[in-house]
Amino acid sequence: MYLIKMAWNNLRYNTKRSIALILLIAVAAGAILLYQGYVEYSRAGMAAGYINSNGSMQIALNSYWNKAADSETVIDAADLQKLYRILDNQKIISFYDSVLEYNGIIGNENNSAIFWAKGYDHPEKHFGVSQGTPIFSSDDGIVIGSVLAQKLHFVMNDEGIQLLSLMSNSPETGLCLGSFHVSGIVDTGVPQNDEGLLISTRQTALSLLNMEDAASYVQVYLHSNETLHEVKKEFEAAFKKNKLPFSIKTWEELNPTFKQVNDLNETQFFIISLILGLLIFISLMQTLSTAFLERLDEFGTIEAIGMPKRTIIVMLLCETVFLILFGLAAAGIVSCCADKFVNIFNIKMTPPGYSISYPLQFYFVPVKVFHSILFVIASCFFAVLIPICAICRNTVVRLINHI
Amino acid sequence: MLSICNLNKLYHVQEQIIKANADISLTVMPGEIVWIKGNSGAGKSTFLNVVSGIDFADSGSVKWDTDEITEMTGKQCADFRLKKCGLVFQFFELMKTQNAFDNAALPMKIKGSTKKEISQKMCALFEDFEVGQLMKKKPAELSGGEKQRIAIIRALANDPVYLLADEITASLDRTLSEKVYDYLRNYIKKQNGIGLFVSHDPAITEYADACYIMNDGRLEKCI
Repeated sequence: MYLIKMAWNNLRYNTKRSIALILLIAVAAGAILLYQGYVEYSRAGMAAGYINSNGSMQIALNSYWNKAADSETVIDAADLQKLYRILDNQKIISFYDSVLEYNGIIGNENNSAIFWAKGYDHPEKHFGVSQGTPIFSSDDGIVIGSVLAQKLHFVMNDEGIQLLSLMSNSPETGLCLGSFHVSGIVDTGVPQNDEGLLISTRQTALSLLNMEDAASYVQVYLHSNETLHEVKKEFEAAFKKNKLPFSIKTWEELNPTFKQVNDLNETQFFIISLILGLLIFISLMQTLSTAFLERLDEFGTIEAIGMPKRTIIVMLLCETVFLILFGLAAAGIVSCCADKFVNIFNIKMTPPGYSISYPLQFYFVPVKVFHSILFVIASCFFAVLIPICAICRNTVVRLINHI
Repeated sequence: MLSICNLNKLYHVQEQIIKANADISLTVMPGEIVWIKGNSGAGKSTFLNVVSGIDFADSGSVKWDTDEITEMTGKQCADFRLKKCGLVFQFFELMKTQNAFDNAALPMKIKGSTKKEISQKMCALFEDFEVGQLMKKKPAELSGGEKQRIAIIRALANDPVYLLADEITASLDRTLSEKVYDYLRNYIKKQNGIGLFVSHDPAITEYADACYIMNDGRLEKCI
């Protein structure tokens, strides 16, 4: 008990140095949490973006994925009903939506451009708008991409209905034309997407194309994406059992660029993490070991008075534990305050290749917090090894005369 | 009784071997104060370091009553110093960050004395050495003489039987030196202990029972 008291007193006697060390530990742990937040939220944000727009998985006819020119790529009404019956029985599914793809030329009195459109049963669940209002399942308007709007010199205003003309090709009736009012403009954050993006309800698409109930694919959203591959296997087994010509692609298979971008980011993050880790490790090692090394004469005096080396080492470790505990508590406070600061001042980051910024976040996930704590603790104990070695190696006289 | 027999301490400086203490033999009876003098670098401080166990002897034996220092482990040595041996260092070796009271009370804290015991003992010693008003002051705020007295109080904190002091009155004036020597002589006699004082101060002459001179590591009795 007296050792703990002595260790505590030693920290108290060296108040300024102790505060500096606690702050260093706090900032080190906070920096790790912040950087992990950047890494994890970048990855998770990118994945969430993909899943939000494409679903956890998509179910379509085999021929849809093969893109065979002479085969049917659209799911007809009968097959859609069979598919809905299977999906309705799955509790893991949070939501599904049928999508009809179509494309063609869009134009107004100013200009014309190519568009690629998606008609959703519930478009409001997939896309918000940057201008105007989103379209809902009962609406018959359209939403266009921000870059497409620029191409058409289209400006949203509140004065009356603003129309754009669409020309497309229906597999059933051939060329089809229609004029639709523009409800809003969407900005997905990826300019290449917004160049020709058009969103409507599936009903609007069906009416333009003069088709009955049909869909290019069904987007399925799961409650949890951790079981994605198991669910995919279950569905494939169900399709096989019911002799349905469907196949499934997960969001990862649908977005091969995700893996490439993610791998690239991971490599970058790994290198930066290594540098950050090294910097933190060296600064903790240097500062903490120096703080103890410059007290070697004190330890020598204490040993001369009558405290054995082993007890001095235990006292040193107690001091380190105190510093770590206070440092980590301070890290928690600093991180929470910084998190609030980031939120209040809305400090954002823009991942590479994106035009939309995301708020900076501290990564308060138990496992990662535990890893950060472990790293800081390990660095601190490594740092204490140096003075401990010095205490063990030197006689009392050499410790007292240590400068 | 202190019995030192053929004590040798060597220093290896680069490729040179320096004999800091050479074949020292000495016997000190209980209740005696031994004064050791000598030129700078003669090996006086090294001698005190070795006999107190804070440095190792290369050969020979140092026996304090039944305690053979040269055969003790580091832990046993530390325990011996804590309970039986008070040390006053030439440069005081006070903790810079602790006040005079905490510095002086350190041996008692290490020994595990209660707050009350520490307080009582310290108050008495601080009064005896006329530094009662300095308890809360840090070493940086103290004069050399004040630091010296705090270091002496620290050495006496655990009522040691043996007292080893290196230039104990170097920073004190004549009057204060005599007071300190008088106090320590009475203390040693009362404890029936042993005092080994390294000093250049002639004031000690009246208080020491024996005088030795250290010449190039050799201890010779003064006549």
